[in-house]
Amino acid sequence: MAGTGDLSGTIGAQPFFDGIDAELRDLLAGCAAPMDFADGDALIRTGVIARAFYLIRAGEVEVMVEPPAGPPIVLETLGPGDVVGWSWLVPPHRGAFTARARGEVEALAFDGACLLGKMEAHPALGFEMLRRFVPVMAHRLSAARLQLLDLYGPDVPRPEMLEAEPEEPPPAPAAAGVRAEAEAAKASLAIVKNRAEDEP
Amino acid sequence: MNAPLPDPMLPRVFRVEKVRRELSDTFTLEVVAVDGGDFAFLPGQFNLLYVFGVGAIPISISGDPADRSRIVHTTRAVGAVSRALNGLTVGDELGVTGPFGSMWPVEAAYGRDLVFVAGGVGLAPLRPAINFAMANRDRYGRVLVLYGARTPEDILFKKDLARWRGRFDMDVLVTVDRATGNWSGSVGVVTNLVLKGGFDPQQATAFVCGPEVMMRYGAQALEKRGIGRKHIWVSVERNMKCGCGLCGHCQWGPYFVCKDGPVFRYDRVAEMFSVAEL
Ligand SMILES: Cc1cc2nc3c(=O)[nH]c(=O)nc-3n(C[C@H](O)[C@H](O)[C@H](O)COP(=O)(O)OP(=O)(O)OC[C@H]3O[C@@H](n4cnc5c(N)ncnc54)[C@H](O)[C@@H]3O)c2cc1C
Ligand code: FES
Repeated sequence: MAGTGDLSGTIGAQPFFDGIDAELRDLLAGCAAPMDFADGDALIRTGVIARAFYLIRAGEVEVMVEPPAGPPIVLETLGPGDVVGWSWLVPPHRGAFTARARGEVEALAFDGACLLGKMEAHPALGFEMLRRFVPVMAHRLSAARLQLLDLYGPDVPRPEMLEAEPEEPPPAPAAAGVRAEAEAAKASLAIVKNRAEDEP
Repeated sequence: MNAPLPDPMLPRVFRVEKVRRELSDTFTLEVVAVDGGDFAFLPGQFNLLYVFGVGAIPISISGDPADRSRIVHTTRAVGAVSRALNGLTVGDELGVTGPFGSMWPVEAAYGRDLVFVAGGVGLAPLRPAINFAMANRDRYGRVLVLYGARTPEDILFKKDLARWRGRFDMDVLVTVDRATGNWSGSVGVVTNLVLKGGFDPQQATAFVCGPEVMMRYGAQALEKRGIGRKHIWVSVERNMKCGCGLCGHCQWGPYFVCKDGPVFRYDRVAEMFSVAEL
C-alpha cells in the first residue's frame, strides 16, 4: 500500500491541487487512499450518504440522474484530473447524482469526515479546499444550465424572423423550367441593383 | 475594348452534382458551374443560394478551398428556402451569387495553436478553415477541433471527424449533450472541452461557430482559459437580402453582417452578443 509520503507526491502532481502548500498536501494525504473501480461500479449514489470525494487518475466516470421510470440519463463524463462529488462538504451529505465508472477507473479517494475535521483544525486547509471546490461546483452548475438551454439547436427566433409565418415551399423547380426562372430572377435582380445605384 | 466585368449581383447557374444526407434535417449539396468555370473562395465566406421561384438564402461554403471545381454547401432545412434546397436532386439547377463576406484569418494565425470550437451545424462553416489548416499543417502549432452536438445522431461530418482524429498531428474531441444508444464518448457541453485546454493560451487563435448562445459561452470559456478576445473569432448570422452591403437587411449594431462579417473578431462584437434581440 502507498505510504502518505507517496500519496502526498501523487496529490501534488494533480492539476486540481496545483500549487498547494507542502504542509497542506501532507494533511490531505492523511485522508486519502488510492481506490480502483470496475466498469459499472458506483462511486456515488443518488440519495445515499456520500462521505468521500474522488480525484480521477485514469479512466472515465459518468455522472447521471436516475429518473423513477426509464433508463439513467448521463449528464456529463469526467476524466483524468477531474474531481467527483461534493456531498461530503454539504450536509446532509447525500449524493445528489449517481457517478459510475465507465470501464476501469483509478482514483484517489478522500475521506470527507477526516477532511472536514482537518479543515476545522487548519483554516488554511479549509480555505484551500473551498477555493478549489467552489469553481468546480460553479462550472458544473453552469454546464447543467447550458445543457437545458439546448446550445446547438436553432437560435431563438429573432423578431425579424417572426414577421411572417413561413409558407410551405412550392415543389423544387424541375430542371427544365429553371433557365427561364433564372432569367426572370436575373431581371429582377438587375432592377434591385439599378435602384440601389440610384440611391445617393 | 475590355469585356464588361461579371455583375456580382447576378446569380451564376450551378448544377447539383451530388447530394449527401448528413442528418435527418441536414444535407450537403455539391454543385458545379453550368458555364464550366471554376469558383474560388476563402474559408468562412458564404454564398446566396437561389432556389428559383422560391427565394434566396445565405449559406456558408463548407468545402475545401483548394478545390475550385465545385462548391459545397451544408444546410439545415428550417424554412421555405432551405426546405426547397433540400428538395433539389442531382441534375437540378440553382443560382449562386458570391462568395461574400469576411474570412477566418487562417494565414494571420500561422505559427500559433489553432482551436476550432464548433456546435451543431456550425461545423460546416469551419470545415474549409480546418481543411486549410490540414493542408498547411506545418505552419501551425497544435491544432484542436472541439465539437459539441445535441446527441450522437446529430454529429455532423462523422467521416471527416474520424479522418481528422486518425491523424497524429491534431486532436479532435467530440461531446454530446445527451448520450443515446451505445455512445461511449464524452457527455457534456462543448465549453467543458474548451476548459480542458490542450493549447497554449498565449499562442492560440480560436475560431468559434455555432448558434449564437453557444458562441457566447464558447468564447467566454476560451477567455477563461486565457485566450485574449483579440484572438477569438466568431461567425454571426443575420437575415440577408442582397449579401453585399446594399440593402441594410443584415444590420447588426454598427455592422452589416454580409460585408463586415460574417466572421468577426470577438473583441469587436462581444458587447453586442449580450444584447438580446439586437
Ligand atoms: C452568413 C450566413 C451563413 C449561413 N450559413 C449557413 C449554413 O452553412 N448552413 C445552414 O444551414 N444555415 C446557414 N445560415 C442560416 C440560413 O441562412 C438560414 O437558416 C436561412 O436563411 C433560413 O431561411 P429559410 O427560408 O429556409 O427559413 P425561413 O422561412 O426564413 O425561417 C423559417 C424558420 O427558421 C428559423 N430560422 C431562420 N433563420 C435561421 C437561422 N439562421 N438559424 C436558425 N433558425 C433560423 C426562423 O426563426 C423560422 O422559424 C447562414 C446564415 C448566414 C447569415
Ligand atoms: S444583406 Fe443587404 S446589406 Fe447585408
